[in-house]
Amino acid sequence: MIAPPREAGPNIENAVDVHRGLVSRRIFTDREIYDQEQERIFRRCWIFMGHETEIPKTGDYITTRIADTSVIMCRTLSGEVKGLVNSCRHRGNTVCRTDAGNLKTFTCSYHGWAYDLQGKRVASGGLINVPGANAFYNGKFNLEDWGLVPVPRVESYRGLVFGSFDPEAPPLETYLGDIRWALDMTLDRGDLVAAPGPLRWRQKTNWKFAADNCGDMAHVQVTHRSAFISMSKLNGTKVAPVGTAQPGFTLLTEYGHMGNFQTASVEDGPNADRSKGFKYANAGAEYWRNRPEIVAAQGAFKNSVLRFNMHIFPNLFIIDRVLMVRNPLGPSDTEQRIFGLYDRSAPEEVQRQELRSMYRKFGPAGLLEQEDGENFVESTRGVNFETIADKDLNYEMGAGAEVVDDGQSPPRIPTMFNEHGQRWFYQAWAQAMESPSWDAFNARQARAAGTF
Amino acid sequence: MPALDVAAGDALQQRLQLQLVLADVLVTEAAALDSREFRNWLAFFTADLLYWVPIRSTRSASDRDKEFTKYGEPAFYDETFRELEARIVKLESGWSWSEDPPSRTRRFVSNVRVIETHSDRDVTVESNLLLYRSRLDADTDIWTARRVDRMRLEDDRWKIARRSVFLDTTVLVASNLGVFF
Repeated sequence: MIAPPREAGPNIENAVDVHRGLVSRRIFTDREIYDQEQERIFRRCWIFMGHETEIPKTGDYITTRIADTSVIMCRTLSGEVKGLVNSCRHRGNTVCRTDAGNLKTFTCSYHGWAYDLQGKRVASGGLINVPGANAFYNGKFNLEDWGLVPVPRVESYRGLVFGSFDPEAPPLETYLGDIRWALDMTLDRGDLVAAPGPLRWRQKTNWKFAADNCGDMAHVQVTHRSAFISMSKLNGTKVAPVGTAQPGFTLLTEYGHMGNFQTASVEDGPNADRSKGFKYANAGAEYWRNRPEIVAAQGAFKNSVLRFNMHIFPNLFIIDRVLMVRNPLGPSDTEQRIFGLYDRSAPEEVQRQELRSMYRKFGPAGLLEQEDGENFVESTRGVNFETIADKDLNYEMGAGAEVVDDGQSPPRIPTMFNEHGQRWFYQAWAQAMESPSWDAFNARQARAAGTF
Repeated sequence: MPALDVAAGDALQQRLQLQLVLADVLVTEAAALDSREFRNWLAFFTADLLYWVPIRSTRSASDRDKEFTKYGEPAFYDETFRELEARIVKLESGWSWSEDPPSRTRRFVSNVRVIETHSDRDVTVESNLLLYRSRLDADTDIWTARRVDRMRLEDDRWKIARRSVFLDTTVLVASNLGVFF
């Protein structure tokens, strides 16, 4: 079912030079590299599938993806969340052709093979009926052997559901490791549920351009300048001049996870967002910052963070409470699934304002993300120019110039405008690509330390 | 052969006349967008405008009422007049890369009909929109939608007070959705 590791993959040596900050254009275009990514990253790592609140009741399902593979994420009678590959074992048809719903069985529209969803009679995904099993198959058909292929590992972290096709994967919590410090910042700030109607957006881009953008603060003032000018019209905020450093820090954690955190500047004080109409302020942020129990639980340091984003290797971006998972469908073809989390314990008006604020910024029509979409597609266009395939891309911002403060937990770099996150991501990418097994990938992990 | 019903004929004529007037407003509005006269375009809306483009998903026939997100839930666009104007500010900023160089757009408005008459100055109008966009070298997008507009006669001019745009796509395939419907 799952392709065995290949003896020798494409040569990725020299594709990434972490110390000098060089990344080969080939890794975005080469088909062999793409195929090896499928084997060593997307069929190995924990891939975000969805949020538990998208399927609250028995029989609820959504169709999501792990890379190009359509996966049904469903809730069984026992309350368990399962991942089933959406492909009939008979002729391969997708057995589920809707994005969400509630069912007892998935019945293939071709010959009527029926699979249990809820796990009532057999395990969820089990084949329970083949029309004519007796009449057409001489009574010898063995239903038990032909259930839907399950995603072998499905685990949740505080509502976030991940799947892995590799039975050898370490537990999800081990894989997330120190980035949980940042994930908890998102998850501790209310009783969060997934907003309805995830956006699905398909772009002619290599998935890694979307990923590496998550560590990139320098683009914000240029790429998104029009959005800030627009927002300043609405809320009277100032637009920072291009090239202005803002206070913050960068988090680099094992397995290639990373994050950027913008903190209050010294003169603004820790409550800048409340007292001065901070430009990212939305109703949701206002709400939790006025709840003493959450403020106390977060502690002074986390409270000083005005906004933040993180990237869970290989393809989940989280910015405050907005989640975007980017699944590759080809070297220049990526589908994003985007949705926000909101606090269901907040007053309805707060929920409404928070959702409006999120979706005005993110998604294909979002004030911010219109331009991100443009950049990812244009990067992909440019790296495909064969004549300059040997000219590496530049990721040198901050390389070798900044020291990881490993006295903090998790270790962090005390600046935000740098390309550490990107180099960290590509380092993990290269490690995964060079590792024939989980053991080899695990052995390459180390806490960020020293000069990076 | 039945006799001509004069009263019914008058009613039909009145209905079609109003339909023509409203269709004229909608195609003129579309022309303003296609020629990128965004400030003129804003003048087609009332100050209490709500402009809404919900998100669609594929659902089974029995679940069709769940296809679109509901008002108040996430949407591609969920704008007041001020917010729509702020999007025009974005386009005018000189930094709006997704629309600079500008898209070449062509809007086709058809099937205009009044579906509800609230008063002689307040009607709900449905129309079909086909929007073709050509960008840069050879990027093309085509979107179609059912639009429902609540239109009010204000200062002798029919204006749009509510616009709902029901796109026919679920997965959006494009670099961005930086256009208006």
